[in-house]
Amino acid sequence: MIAGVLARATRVLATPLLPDDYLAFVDPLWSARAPKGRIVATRPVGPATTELTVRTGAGWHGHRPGQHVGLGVDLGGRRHWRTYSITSAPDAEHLTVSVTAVPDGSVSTHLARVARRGDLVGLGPAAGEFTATGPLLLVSGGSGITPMLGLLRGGVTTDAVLVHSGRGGHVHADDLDDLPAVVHRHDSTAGHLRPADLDDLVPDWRARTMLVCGPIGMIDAFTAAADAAGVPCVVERFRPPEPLDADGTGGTVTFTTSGVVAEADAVTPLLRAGEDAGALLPSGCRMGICHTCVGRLSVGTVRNLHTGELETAEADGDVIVRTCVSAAAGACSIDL
Amino acid sequence: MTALDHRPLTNPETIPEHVTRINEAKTPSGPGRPGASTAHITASTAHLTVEDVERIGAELEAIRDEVMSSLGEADARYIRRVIRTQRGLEIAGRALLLGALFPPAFVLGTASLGVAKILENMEIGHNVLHGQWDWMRDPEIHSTTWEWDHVSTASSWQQTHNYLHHTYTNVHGKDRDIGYNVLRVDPDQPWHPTYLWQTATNFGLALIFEYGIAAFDLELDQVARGEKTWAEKMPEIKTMLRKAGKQALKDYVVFPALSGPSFVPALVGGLLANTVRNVWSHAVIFCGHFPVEVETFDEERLENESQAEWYVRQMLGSANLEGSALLHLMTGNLSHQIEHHLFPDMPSNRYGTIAPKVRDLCRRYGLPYHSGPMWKQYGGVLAKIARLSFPGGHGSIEKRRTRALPVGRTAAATLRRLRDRVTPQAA
Repeated sequence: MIAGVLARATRVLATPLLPDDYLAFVDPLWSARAPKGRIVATRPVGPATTELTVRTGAGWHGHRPGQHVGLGVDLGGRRHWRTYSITSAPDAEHLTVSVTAVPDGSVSTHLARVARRGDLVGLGPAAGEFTATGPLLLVSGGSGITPMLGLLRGGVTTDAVLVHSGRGGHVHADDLDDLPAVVHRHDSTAGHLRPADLDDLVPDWRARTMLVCGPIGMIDAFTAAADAAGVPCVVERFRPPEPLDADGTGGTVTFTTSGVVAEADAVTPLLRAGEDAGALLPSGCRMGICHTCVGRLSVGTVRNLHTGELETAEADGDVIVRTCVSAAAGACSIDL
Repeated sequence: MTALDHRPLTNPETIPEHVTRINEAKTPSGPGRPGASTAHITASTAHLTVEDVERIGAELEAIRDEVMSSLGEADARYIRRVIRTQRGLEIAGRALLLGALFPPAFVLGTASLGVAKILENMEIGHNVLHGQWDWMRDPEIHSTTWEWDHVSTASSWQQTHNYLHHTYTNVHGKDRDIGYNVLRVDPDQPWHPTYLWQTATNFGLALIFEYGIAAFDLELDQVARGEKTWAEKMPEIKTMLRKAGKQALKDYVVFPALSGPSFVPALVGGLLANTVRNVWSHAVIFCGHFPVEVETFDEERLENESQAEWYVRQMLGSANLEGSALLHLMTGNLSHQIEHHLFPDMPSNRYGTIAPKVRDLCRRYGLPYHSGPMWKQYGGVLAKIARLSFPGGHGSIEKRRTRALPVGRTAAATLRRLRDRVTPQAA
């Protein structure tokens, strides 16, 4: 109760801002409104992969094993968000994630190669349902090892077998021995790991729940095998980039709050398309200056009619677009 | 934190026709197209052809694109530094006022708090609420989440200022900022006996400017005209009163109480800081649109107005202030009112860099670029308000406006056309 009174009192002192805004002034990690983390260590764990150890701030509400977290990074002044599997246990002192620099991936390249001890990152809430209990068979390929590390270190089971496939220099190769699981390594340069190999490696695999994370081909092959064998199977897919409508023919626009779906071509402002379909949307100047009409882009890509630039939704990010000067570039959803 | 659902919803029947057309006229179909009004042809633009106006529009778009495509880390650092400075000054001011019985603490604390409040309203609040920093995608510095230290709520302000004032700048009957319903600042406003003491009214308004703006943002004149009922206005009035109450509680009760024996001087310090902010923002805003040379327009001009004509209207209807870097910062870069009105959502730290280009464009096309030092602009505004207390004023003000027009603009236009004919441009 005393804490409640104190909280209210500080709110009176900070109005119209929140006490958080002043706390963040002292240390950004103290802000609960915009959770932040500070990188306290970096460690190479593969040819292009870096493990980041992050001290979490006041706004972090913890995670469950197998979940992922959005990291927010400012590049060129703009905030970008990407999602990574958490590799640390929930009770560990710090949060760890592993980032592989991918070609053309500005955020992953920054986090894997440029980010240093002391840098701040935004933290999204932990999310994901990649978990199971009882006897487990974990099948992973390449960087698909990361959620497995989170599950095993998080102690979801006492009976786990991990089958991991990777190239010569495995991502997290040195960390596999310390895991509380029977570990089988497979060198993918000698050929893909196939479901048929399981009979040799894990004779009792049909009695286990299968968890799969890795390249699309691997996921497809092992889910099919699990289906055929009647084995329960949970899959984690790393989100592929949203497909972009290359020929510029617009797309279907979903206004999630209004529940209105509109077809729009590549030059009609989303605002106009939504109104024509009967949505009541906020609007003002209708020429891109007053920002009354803005909404969060939750799915897909839109094209700014002023500049021709594309803006793409990010899972944990706030990509806010002006509906009066943005047009659909493929199917998209706006939270209005 | 502003609730997004406070924003006005589109009622399809009340979208003004010409607003939709402004948007659609973005393609340079230009004046002279069927249905275009001739109201944009005034003394200041008569020497320009249809193509000239379109070319002005294209040049301005190029200036805009160049800046907007080059926004980056340095800009983000700028606004974060201003916010940090402002919060530091605010904390310092509050801390000093705790010991306000000690005169130096009172003076320094009041000054620090006053400067913090000015920065918060002008360079930070006004500009963040315009969406100038939305491109950073930082939810903590975003037009949809920002709330400012002003009695008018962010959402209410965004409706009357961002939308009405910036879309219909200086258009009679549309831009309610012309005189804020209580002053006669343009001879085209019909005279009324209450204007006789408007110099005093204006002085009073300056002292309580934030309350004046808040009351103005409520658009209570809609009730008088029978467009809305009191019951419909009540929720908005309550929200604003609650916000005003919170500010008063913080500035005039809680912080003075924390000061203990310094209660009275701390209260006076808070009152002074708010008043200094009010008088300053009043002066800056009045210098932006009410100097004598600045033009006002009739509603007819909106008919089928093209994007390029809209740009020209913004330039003719605004005035800049000349001064030091400190002046620009303390005015929230509204000293670059012309540039702000051309590109309301361009980050304010860039206005200074494009100002010479806009000025040069005006010179080349023979358009006036209203600008002057603050004492001169503000003095002119006060003199004009005094003159317009009395009926009339058309003649003298029209004469001043004509005198402010660039000399030789017709000759310059002819020369430019001849030169273009000799060396046809690729574009």
